[in-house]
Amino acid sequence: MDLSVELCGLRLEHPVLNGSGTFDAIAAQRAFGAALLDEFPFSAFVSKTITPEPRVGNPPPRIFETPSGMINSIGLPNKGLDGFLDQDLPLLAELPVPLVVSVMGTSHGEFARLVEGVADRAEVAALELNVSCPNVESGCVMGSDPDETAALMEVVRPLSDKPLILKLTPNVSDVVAVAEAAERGGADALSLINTLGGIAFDPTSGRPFLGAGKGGLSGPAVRPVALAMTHDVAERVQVPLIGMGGIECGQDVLDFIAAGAHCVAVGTENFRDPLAATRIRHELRELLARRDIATTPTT
Amino acid sequence: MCAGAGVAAELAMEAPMACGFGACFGCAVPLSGGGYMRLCVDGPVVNAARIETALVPGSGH
Repeated sequence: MDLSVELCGLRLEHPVLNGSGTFDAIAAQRAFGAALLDEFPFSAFVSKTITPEPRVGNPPPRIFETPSGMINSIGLPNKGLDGFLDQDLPLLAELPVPLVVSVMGTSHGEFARLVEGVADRAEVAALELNVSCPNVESGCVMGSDPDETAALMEVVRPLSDKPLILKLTPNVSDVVAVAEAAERGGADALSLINTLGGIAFDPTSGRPFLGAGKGGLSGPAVRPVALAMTHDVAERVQVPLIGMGGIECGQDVLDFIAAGAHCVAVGTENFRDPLAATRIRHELRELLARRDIATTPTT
Repeated sequence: MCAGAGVAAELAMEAPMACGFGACFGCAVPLSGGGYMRLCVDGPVVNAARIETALVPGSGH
């Protein structure tokens, strides 16, 4: 059976990627050994989000378990653009799959600096734009508003010929409008969804449990929301969608494909089992075989 | 307390952990020199002098 898919000109061996920040390929090699590379769980690797300058992340606690999910507020700790290029990129370049680098800026200038700095490198196959962050110049989350998204695409699109994947946030009143703005602005693909805004309270103090106050909900609890948004966006845009949100098994992948996704990403499930994506891929293969389908279906 | 008495201390720490191998950065503990360490890969037993116990939730300070 041939599960391969094409995503923005990249030939991927199968449709299962990772959600940004949910799998550390360098730490995983340290923990599980080089054998990890023999059967790498994902067909492309999406890096943890990098920012122009290093960040230490948010004060703890950073995670809280919820029914069928978790809330996190990690705060994007990372080495910054220069640290990433010098230290992480050479290691990530050794992975046996294409590398997608996730970037996040708090202004158009920061995004431009990141796209220019990353896209030039031959090791990088594509970029994912994390727009779930306020623009310090407008105060508006860049991915929460079609005009903000269009303005950002106008700045970054001319800077690179490499595929630009825009990651949609579900914390909007109209995700389809943002998706359409991204497509019009030249995004090559869209990934969805990022986490849903959430909060948890400490039962003894009555104060927010997480150090940063609020966080983002992920895991199976968000899957129906992610499927609905994938469905709605797929009806209105032509670019391929990378669907994600609580994927745990092969049937979940089929559900996202039925909703209109071209590829999928496994996120929170990687925390429970770092090799979950391999299992999910085998389950997908089996489900398709049972239906006498010989390739990854498209809708 | 140990620092006041000039006694070296090693602390076995706990933190909410999602992945357990350094991927999620969920189990961060503040370092006395600034920044954080991941308890799963750099702990769970930590030299008390390295960490900012006053800022560790549940540390009793």
